[in-house]
Amino acid sequence: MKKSIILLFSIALTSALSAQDENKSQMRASFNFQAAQHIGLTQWSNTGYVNDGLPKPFITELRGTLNILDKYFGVFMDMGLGIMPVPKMRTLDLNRMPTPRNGTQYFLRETLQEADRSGASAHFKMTFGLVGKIPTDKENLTIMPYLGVGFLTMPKRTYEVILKENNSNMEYQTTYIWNHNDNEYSNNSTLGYLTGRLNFKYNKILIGLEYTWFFTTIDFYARHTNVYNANITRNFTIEGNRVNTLGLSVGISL
Amino acid sequence: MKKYLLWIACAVVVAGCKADDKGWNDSVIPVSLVGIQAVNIDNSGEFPILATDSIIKEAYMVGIRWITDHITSANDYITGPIQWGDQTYESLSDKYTKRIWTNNQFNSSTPAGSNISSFFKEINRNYLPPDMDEGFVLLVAPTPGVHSFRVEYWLGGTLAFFYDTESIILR
Repeated sequence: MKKSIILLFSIALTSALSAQDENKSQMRASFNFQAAQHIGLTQWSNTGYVNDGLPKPFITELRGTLNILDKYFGVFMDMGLGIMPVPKMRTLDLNRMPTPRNGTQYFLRETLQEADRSGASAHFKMTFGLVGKIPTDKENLTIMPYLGVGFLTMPKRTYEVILKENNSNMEYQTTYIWNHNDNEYSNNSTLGYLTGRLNFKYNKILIGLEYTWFFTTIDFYARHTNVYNANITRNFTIEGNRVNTLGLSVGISL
Repeated sequence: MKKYLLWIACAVVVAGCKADDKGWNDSVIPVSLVGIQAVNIDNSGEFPILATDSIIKEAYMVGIRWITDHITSANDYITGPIQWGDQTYESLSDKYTKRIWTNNQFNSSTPAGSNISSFFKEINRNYLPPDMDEGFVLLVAPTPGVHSFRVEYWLGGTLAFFYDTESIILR
Protein backbone atom coordinates (compact mmCIF):
# COMPACT_ATOMS: atom_id res chain seq x y z
CA MET A 1 0.00 0.00 0.00
CA LYS A 2 2.75 2.45 1.01
CA LYS A 3 4.78 1.69 -2.13
CA SER A 4 1.74 2.34 -4.35
CA ILE A 5 1.09 5.65 -2.64
CA ILE A 6 4.70 6.76 -3.08
CA LEU A 7 4.68 5.69 -6.72
CA LEU A 8 1.47 7.60 -7.42
CA PHE A 9 2.91 10.67 -5.76
CA SER A 10 6.07 10.43 -7.86
CA ILE A 11 4.03 10.19 -11.05
CA ALA A 12 1.87 13.18 -10.03
CA LEU A 13 4.94 15.21 -9.12
CA THR A 14 6.71 14.38 -12.37
CA SER A 15 3.57 15.23 -14.40
CA ALA A 16 3.14 18.51 -12.60
CA LEU A 17 6.73 19.46 -13.09
CA SER A 18 6.83 18.60 -16.78
CA ALA A 19 3.24 19.58 -17.65
CA GLN A 20 3.85 22.52 -19.92
CA ASP A 21 7.21 23.66 -21.18
CA GLU A 22 6.16 27.27 -21.22
CA ASN A 23 5.07 27.09 -17.58
CA LYS A 24 8.15 25.29 -16.33
CA SER A 25 9.83 28.50 -15.37
CA GLN A 26 6.75 29.47 -13.25
CA MET A 27 6.90 26.41 -10.96
CA ARG A 28 7.74 27.51 -7.47
CA ALA A 29 8.43 25.58 -4.31
CA SER A 30 7.42 26.86 -0.93
CA PHE A 31 7.57 25.50 2.59
CA ASN A 32 4.95 25.76 5.29
CA PHE A 33 5.48 25.06 8.96
CA GLN A 34 2.23 24.63 10.81
CA ALA A 35 0.77 23.57 14.11
CA ALA A 36 -2.70 22.07 13.90
CA GLN A 37 -5.25 20.88 16.43
CA HIS A 38 -7.69 18.18 15.30
CA ILE A 39 -10.80 17.37 17.31
CA GLY A 40 -12.60 14.07 16.75
CA LEU A 41 -16.26 14.32 15.78
CA THR A 42 -16.77 10.59 16.39
CA GLN A 43 -15.11 7.97 18.61
CA TRP A 44 -12.85 5.11 17.54
CA SER A 45 -15.43 2.56 18.75
CA ASN A 46 -18.95 2.36 20.11
CA THR A 47 -17.83 -0.12 22.77
CA GLY A 48 -16.76 1.54 26.04
CA TYR A 49 -13.74 -0.57 27.01
CA VAL A 50 -12.42 -0.55 23.43
CA ASN A 51 -12.64 3.23 23.23
CA ASP A 52 -11.12 3.78 26.66
CA GLY A 53 -8.10 1.66 25.72
CA LEU A 54 -7.23 4.04 22.88
CA PRO A 55 -6.15 7.71 22.94
CA LYS A 56 -8.97 10.06 22.02
CA PRO A 57 -8.95 11.36 18.42
CA PHE A 58 -7.67 14.69 19.72
CA ILE A 59 -4.48 15.18 17.73
CA THR A 60 -1.99 18.00 18.15
CA GLU A 61 0.08 18.07 14.98
CA LEU A 62 3.35 19.72 14.06
CA ARG A 63 4.11 19.47 10.36
CA GLY A 64 6.23 20.75 7.53
CA THR A 65 4.73 21.01 4.03
CA LEU A 66 6.45 21.25 0.67
CA ASN A 67 4.31 22.90 -2.01
CA ILE A 68 5.24 22.89 -5.68
CA LEU A 69 2.93 25.14 -7.63
CA ASP A 70 2.73 27.00 -10.86
CA LYS A 71 0.43 29.99 -11.06
CA TYR A 72 -2.73 28.26 -9.77
CA PHE A 73 -2.16 24.55 -9.31
CA GLY A 74 0.37 22.12 -7.93
CA VAL A 75 1.13 19.26 -5.60
CA PHE A 76 2.13 19.06 -1.97
CA MET A 77 3.64 16.65 0.50
CA ASP A 78 3.84 17.03 4.23
CA MET A 79 5.30 15.13 7.13
CA GLY A 80 4.59 15.67 10.75
CA LEU A 81 4.16 14.33 14.22
CA GLY A 82 0.73 13.88 15.76
CA ILE A 83 0.56 13.85 19.54
CA MET A 84 -2.39 12.06 21.11
CA PRO A 85 -3.44 12.10 24.76
CA VAL A 86 -3.23 9.30 27.36
CA PRO A 87 -6.02 6.73 27.01
CA LYS A 88 -8.65 6.74 29.75
CA MET A 89 -7.80 3.11 30.63
CA ARG A 90 -4.09 3.37 31.42
CA THR A 91 -3.73 -0.17 32.79
CA LEU A 92 -5.80 -3.27 32.12
CA ASP A 93 -9.08 -3.08 34.01
CA LEU A 94 -10.20 -6.69 34.08
CA ASN A 95 -13.64 -5.82 35.47
CA ARG A 96 -14.49 -4.09 32.18
CA MET A 97 -12.98 -6.59 29.75
CA PRO A 98 -14.78 -9.51 28.06
CA THR A 99 -14.09 -12.82 29.81
CA PRO A 100 -14.41 -16.47 28.72
CA ARG A 101 -17.88 -16.77 30.27
CA ASN A 102 -20.08 -13.76 30.93
CA GLY A 103 -21.28 -13.44 34.49
CA THR A 104 -18.39 -15.46 35.95
CA GLN A 105 -15.70 -13.93 38.12
CA TYR A 106 -12.09 -14.28 37.05
CA PHE A 107 -8.83 -13.59 38.83
CA LEU A 108 -5.74 -12.27 37.08
CA ARG A 109 -3.27 -15.06 37.77
CA GLU A 110 -0.36 -13.98 35.61
CA THR A 111 0.48 -11.26 33.10
CA LEU A 112 2.51 -12.63 30.19
CA GLN A 113 2.64 -9.45 28.12
CA GLU A 114 1.41 -5.96 28.84
CA ALA A 115 1.40 -2.58 27.13
CA ASP A 116 0.32 0.07 29.61
CA ARG A 117 -0.09 3.65 28.45
CA SER A 118 0.98 6.06 31.12
CA GLY A 119 1.71 9.07 28.89
CA ALA A 120 0.79 10.83 25.67
CA SER A 121 2.03 9.24 22.44
CA ALA A 122 3.59 10.59 19.25
CA HIS A 123 2.51 9.26 15.87
CA PHE A 124 4.13 9.81 12.49
CA LYS A 125 1.88 11.43 9.91
CA MET A 126 2.35 11.89 6.16
CA THR A 127 0.07 13.39 3.51
CA PHE A 128 0.35 14.18 -0.15
CA GLY A 129 -2.00 15.46 -2.79
CA LEU A 130 -3.08 18.49 -4.79
CA VAL A 131 -2.96 22.15 -3.87
CA GLY A 132 -4.44 25.21 -5.50
CA LYS A 133 -3.84 28.94 -5.26
CA ILE A 134 -6.69 31.40 -5.48
CA PRO A 135 -5.66 35.07 -5.52
CA THR A 136 -8.05 37.58 -3.96
CA ASP A 137 -8.75 41.28 -4.33
CA LYS A 138 -6.54 41.99 -1.35
CA GLU A 139 -2.95 42.11 -2.50
CA ASN A 140 -1.29 40.01 0.17
CA LEU A 141 -4.10 37.53 0.80
CA THR A 142 -4.20 34.17 -0.97
CA ILE A 143 -6.53 31.24 -0.45
CA MET A 144 -4.97 27.80 -0.83
CA PRO A 145 -7.20 24.74 -0.91
CA TYR A 146 -5.64 21.31 -0.33
CA LEU A 147 -6.93 17.83 -1.06
CA GLY A 148 -4.81 14.92 0.04
CA VAL A 149 -4.48 11.34 1.18
CA GLY A 150 -2.19 10.19 3.97
CA PHE A 151 -1.55 7.85 6.84
CA LEU A 152 -1.04 8.04 10.57
CA THR A 153 0.89 5.39 12.50
CA MET A 154 -0.90 3.81 15.43
CA PRO A 155 0.77 1.18 17.64
CA LYS A 156 -1.02 -1.95 18.76
CA ARG A 157 -1.89 -2.30 22.38
CA THR A 158 -1.66 -5.91 23.51
CA TYR A 159 -2.25 -7.73 26.77
CA GLU A 160 -1.70 -11.44 27.28
CA VAL A 161 -2.80 -12.76 30.65
CA ILE A 162 -3.75 -15.95 32.47
CA LEU A 163 -7.23 -15.82 34.02
CA LYS A 164 -8.31 -18.17 36.80
CA GLU A 165 -12.03 -18.91 37.00
CA ASN A 166 -13.72 -18.51 40.39
CA ASN A 167 -15.07 -21.76 41.94
CA SER A 168 -13.31 -23.84 39.30
CA ASN A 169 -9.93 -25.24 38.27
CA MET A 170 -10.26 -23.68 34.83
CA GLU A 171 -7.60 -21.27 33.59
CA TYR A 172 -7.53 -19.39 30.30
CA GLN A 173 -4.77 -17.75 28.37
CA THR A 174 -6.41 -14.54 27.23
CA THR A 175 -5.26 -12.06 24.61
CA TYR A 176 -6.64 -8.54 24.15
CA ILE A 177 -5.44 -6.52 21.17
CA TRP A 178 -6.42 -2.95 20.30
CA ASN A 179 -5.69 -2.00 16.70
CA HIS A 180 -5.56 -5.61 15.60
CA ASN A 181 -4.39 -6.51 12.11
CA ASP A 182 -3.36 -9.71 10.36
CA ASN A 183 0.34 -9.09 10.80
CA GLU A 184 1.19 -10.81 14.09
CA TYR A 185 4.79 -9.69 14.02
CA SER A 186 4.20 -5.97 13.64
CA ASN A 187 3.57 -3.74 16.65
CA ASN A 188 2.30 -0.87 14.49
CA SER A 189 -0.29 -0.33 11.86
CA THR A 190 -1.27 2.70 9.83
CA LEU A 191 -4.59 4.52 9.61
CA GLY A 192 -5.32 5.91 6.18
CA TYR A 193 -7.22 9.15 5.77
CA LEU A 194 -8.48 11.70 3.27
CA THR A 195 -8.09 15.32 4.18
CA GLY A 196 -9.29 18.65 2.84
CA ARG A 197 -7.79 21.95 3.97
CA LEU A 198 -8.37 25.58 3.35
CA ASN A 199 -5.37 27.78 4.16
CA PHE A 200 -5.57 31.55 4.25
CA LYS A 201 -2.17 33.03 3.58
CA TYR A 202 -1.62 36.68 4.49
CA ASN A 203 1.95 37.69 3.70
CA LYS A 204 3.77 34.83 5.38
CA ILE A 205 1.15 33.98 8.01
CA LEU A 206 -1.06 30.94 7.52
CA ILE A 207 -4.38 30.19 9.15
CA GLY A 208 -6.25 27.10 8.09
CA LEU A 209 -9.31 24.96 8.54
CA GLU A 210 -9.22 21.27 7.84
CA TYR A 211 -11.40 18.20 7.77
CA THR A 212 -10.03 14.64 7.95
CA TRP A 213 -11.83 11.35 7.36
CA PHE A 214 -10.11 8.14 8.46
CA PHE A 215 -11.13 5.37 6.07
CA THR A 216 -9.27 2.76 8.12
CA THR A 217 -10.83 1.52 11.35
CA ILE A 218 -9.24 0.42 14.62
CA ASP A 219 -10.45 -3.11 15.39
CA PHE A 220 -10.38 -4.85 18.78
CA TYR A 221 -9.67 -8.58 19.13
CA ALA A 222 -10.04 -10.91 22.11
CA ARG A 223 -9.27 -14.62 22.41
CA HIS A 224 -9.62 -17.02 25.37
CA THR A 225 -7.78 -20.36 25.20
CA ASN A 226 -8.26 -23.17 27.70
CA VAL A 227 -4.85 -23.71 29.31
CA TYR A 228 -5.38 -27.44 29.88
CA ASN A 229 -6.60 -28.55 26.45
CA ALA A 230 -5.55 -25.61 24.23
CA ASN A 231 -9.09 -25.22 22.88
CA ILE A 232 -10.07 -21.71 21.92
CA THR A 233 -13.12 -21.15 24.07
CA ARG A 234 -14.08 -17.78 22.67
CA ASN A 235 -12.66 -15.30 20.19
CA PHE A 236 -14.18 -12.28 18.53
CA THR A 237 -13.39 -9.01 16.77
CA ILE A 238 -15.11 -5.66 17.24
CA GLU A 239 -14.82 -3.36 14.23
CA GLY A 240 -14.19 0.27 14.91
CA ASN A 241 -15.76 3.42 13.48
CA ARG A 242 -14.54 5.52 10.57
CA VAL A 243 -13.55 8.59 12.53
CA ASN A 244 -13.68 12.15 11.23
CA THR A 245 -12.03 15.21 12.72
CA LEU A 246 -12.20 18.96 12.36
CA GLY A 247 -9.05 21.00 12.74
CA LEU A 248 -7.61 24.47 13.02
CA SER A 249 -4.03 25.32 12.02
CA VAL A 250 -1.61 28.24 12.25
CA GLY A 251 1.80 28.58 10.72
CA ILE A 252 4.24 30.41 8.53
CA SER A 253 5.06 30.10 4.86
CA LEU A 254 8.56 30.43 3.45
CA MET B 1 51.17 -39.42 7.86
CA LYS B 2 49.21 -36.23 7.27
CA LYS B 3 45.92 -38.14 7.69
CA TYR B 4 47.03 -39.54 11.05
CA LEU B 5 48.04 -36.11 12.25
CA LEU B 6 44.65 -34.73 11.17
CA TRP B 7 42.76 -37.45 13.08
CA ILE B 8 44.89 -36.89 16.20
CA ALA B 9 44.27 -33.15 15.98
CA CYS B 10 40.50 -33.72 15.66
CA ALA B 11 40.54 -36.06 18.65
CA VAL B 12 42.39 -33.49 20.74
CA VAL B 13 39.93 -30.76 19.76
CA VAL B 14 36.88 -32.93 20.48
CA ALA B 15 38.29 -34.04 23.83
CA GLY B 16 38.95 -30.41 24.72
CA CYS B 17 35.40 -29.41 23.82
CA LYS B 18 33.72 -32.18 25.79
CA ALA B 19 31.90 -30.67 28.72
CA ASP B 20 32.48 -31.82 32.22
CA ASP B 21 29.00 -33.10 33.15
CA LYS B 22 29.66 -33.17 36.85
CA GLY B 23 28.31 -30.13 38.67
CA TRP B 24 26.35 -28.69 35.70
CA ASN B 25 22.87 -30.20 36.17
CA ASP B 26 23.30 -31.29 39.76
CA SER B 27 21.80 -29.39 42.67
CA VAL B 28 24.19 -27.69 45.03
CA ILE B 29 23.94 -30.54 47.53
CA PRO B 30 22.30 -33.59 45.93
CA VAL B 31 19.04 -34.90 47.43
CA SER B 32 16.93 -37.89 46.49
CA LEU B 33 13.18 -38.39 46.51
CA VAL B 34 12.37 -41.01 49.14
CA GLY B 35 8.59 -40.58 49.46
CA ILE B 36 5.52 -38.41 48.82
CA GLN B 37 2.54 -37.04 50.70
CA ALA B 38 -0.74 -36.26 48.95
CA VAL B 39 -3.13 -33.64 50.37
CA ASN B 40 -6.49 -32.17 49.37
CA ILE B 41 -6.33 -28.63 47.98
CA ASP B 42 -9.18 -26.16 47.49
CA ASN B 43 -8.57 -24.31 44.20
CA SER B 44 -11.88 -22.41 44.11
CA GLY B 45 -10.46 -18.97 44.93
CA GLU B 46 -7.71 -16.80 43.58
CA PHE B 47 -4.99 -19.00 45.11
CA PRO B 48 -5.09 -22.69 46.04
CA ILE B 49 -5.18 -23.43 49.80
CA LEU B 50 -5.07 -26.55 51.93
CA ALA B 51 -8.58 -27.91 52.35
CA THR B 52 -9.94 -29.05 55.65
CA ASP B 53 -13.65 -28.92 54.90
CA SER B 54 -15.63 -29.73 51.78
CA ILE B 55 -14.51 -28.51 48.35
CA ILE B 56 -16.52 -27.55 45.26
CA LYS B 57 -16.10 -30.59 43.03
CA GLU B 58 -15.07 -28.42 40.02
CA ALA B 59 -12.23 -26.89 42.06
CA TYR B 60 -10.55 -29.97 43.59
CA MET B 61 -6.79 -30.36 43.41
CA VAL B 62 -4.34 -32.93 44.74
CA GLY B 63 -1.20 -31.38 46.22
CA ILE B 64 2.03 -33.36 46.49
CA ARG B 65 4.80 -32.82 49.03
CA TRP B 66 8.10 -34.46 48.24
CA ILE B 67 9.91 -36.27 51.01
CA THR B 68 13.64 -36.01 50.36
CA ASP B 69 16.83 -37.07 51.99
CA HIS B 70 20.52 -36.88 51.34
CA ILE B 71 21.51 -40.30 50.05
CA THR B 72 25.23 -41.01 50.29
CA SER B 73 27.40 -43.39 48.35
CA ALA B 74 30.92 -44.71 48.78
CA ASN B 75 31.75 -43.22 45.34
CA ASP B 76 30.74 -39.64 46.19
CA TYR B 77 33.17 -36.74 45.87
CA ILE B 78 32.97 -32.97 46.23
CA THR B 79 31.37 -31.55 43.09
CA GLY B 80 32.79 -28.48 41.34
CA PRO B 81 31.46 -24.91 41.67
CA ILE B 82 28.32 -23.87 39.81
CA GLN B 83 29.37 -22.50 36.44
CA TRP B 84 28.16 -19.17 35.11
CA GLY B 85 25.57 -19.17 32.37
CA ASP B 86 22.13 -20.58 31.76
CA GLN B 87 21.47 -23.73 33.69
CA THR B 88 18.56 -26.10 33.72
CA TYR B 89 17.92 -28.05 36.85
CA GLU B 90 15.99 -31.28 36.66
CA SER B 91 12.95 -31.52 38.86
CA LEU B 92 13.28 -34.31 41.43
CA SER B 93 10.14 -35.99 40.18
CA ASP B 94 10.62 -35.60 36.40
CA LYS B 95 11.82 -39.15 35.93
CA TYR B 96 8.75 -40.61 37.67
CA THR B 97 5.47 -41.46 35.95
CA LYS B 98 2.51 -40.33 38.04
CA ARG B 99 -0.83 -42.11 38.25
CA ILE B 100 -3.97 -41.35 40.23
CA TRP B 101 -6.64 -43.90 41.19
CA THR B 102 -10.00 -43.36 42.77
CA ASN B 103 -10.60 -45.17 46.05
CA ASN B 104 -14.39 -44.60 45.86
CA GLN B 105 -17.07 -44.70 43.18
CA PHE B 106 -16.08 -41.63 41.13
CA ASN B 107 -19.27 -41.36 39.07
CA SER B 108 -21.86 -43.65 37.55
CA SER B 109 -19.44 -44.98 34.92
CA THR B 110 -16.19 -44.99 36.95
CA PRO B 111 -16.14 -47.51 39.83
CA ALA B 112 -13.75 -47.59 42.79
CA GLY B 113 -10.24 -48.71 41.90
CA SER B 114 -10.28 -47.08 38.42
CA ASN B 115 -7.25 -45.32 36.97
CA ILE B 116 -8.41 -41.71 36.57
CA SER B 117 -5.01 -40.19 35.70
CA SER B 118 -6.44 -38.71 32.47
CA PHE B 119 -8.92 -36.67 34.54
CA PHE B 120 -6.04 -34.67 36.06
CA LYS B 121 -3.60 -32.08 34.70
CA GLU B 122 -0.54 -30.60 36.38
CA ILE B 123 -0.83 -27.00 37.47
CA ASN B 124 1.88 -24.33 37.08
CA ARG B 125 4.11 -24.81 40.13
CA ASN B 126 4.40 -21.06 40.66
CA TYR B 127 0.88 -21.02 42.10
CA LEU B 128 1.07 -23.84 44.62
CA PRO B 129 0.55 -23.29 48.35
CA PRO B 130 3.74 -22.96 50.41
CA ASP B 131 5.65 -26.23 50.95
CA MET B 132 3.78 -27.95 48.10
CA ASP B 133 5.94 -29.29 45.28
CA GLU B 134 3.40 -30.43 42.69
CA GLY B 135 -0.31 -30.00 42.07
CA PHE B 136 -2.78 -31.85 39.87
CA VAL B 137 -6.15 -30.26 39.14
CA LEU B 138 -9.20 -32.45 38.59
CA LEU B 139 -10.91 -31.46 35.32
CA VAL B 140 -13.77 -34.01 35.37
CA ALA B 141 -16.22 -33.36 38.18
CA PRO B 142 -17.18 -36.45 40.21
CA THR B 143 -20.55 -37.31 41.71
CA PRO B 144 -20.97 -35.23 44.89
CA GLY B 145 -19.97 -37.18 48.00
CA VAL B 146 -16.99 -38.46 49.96
CA HIS B 147 -13.90 -39.12 47.84
CA SER B 148 -10.33 -40.25 48.35
CA PHE B 149 -7.57 -40.77 45.81
CA ARG B 150 -4.35 -42.77 45.62
CA VAL B 151 -1.34 -41.11 44.02
CA GLU B 152 1.40 -43.40 42.68
CA TYR B 153 4.91 -42.57 41.47
CA TRP B 154 6.37 -45.20 39.13
CA LEU B 155 10.00 -45.51 38.12
CA GLY B 156 10.07 -47.48 34.93
CA GLY B 157 7.85 -50.49 35.61
CA THR B 158 8.28 -50.37 39.40
CA LEU B 159 6.00 -48.66 41.86
CA ALA B 160 8.31 -46.35 43.83
CA PHE B 161 5.89 -44.47 46.15
CA PHE B 162 2.17 -44.15 46.79
CA TYR B 163 -0.03 -42.15 49.14
CA ASP B 164 -3.78 -42.03 49.83
CA THR B 165 -5.40 -38.64 50.35
CA GLU B 166 -7.66 -38.13 53.33
CA SER B 167 -11.34 -38.55 52.55
CA ILE B 168 -12.97 -35.26 51.64
CA ILE B 169 -16.48 -34.18 50.71
CA LEU B 170 -16.71 -32.93 47.12
CA ARG B 171 -19.97 -31.00 46.77
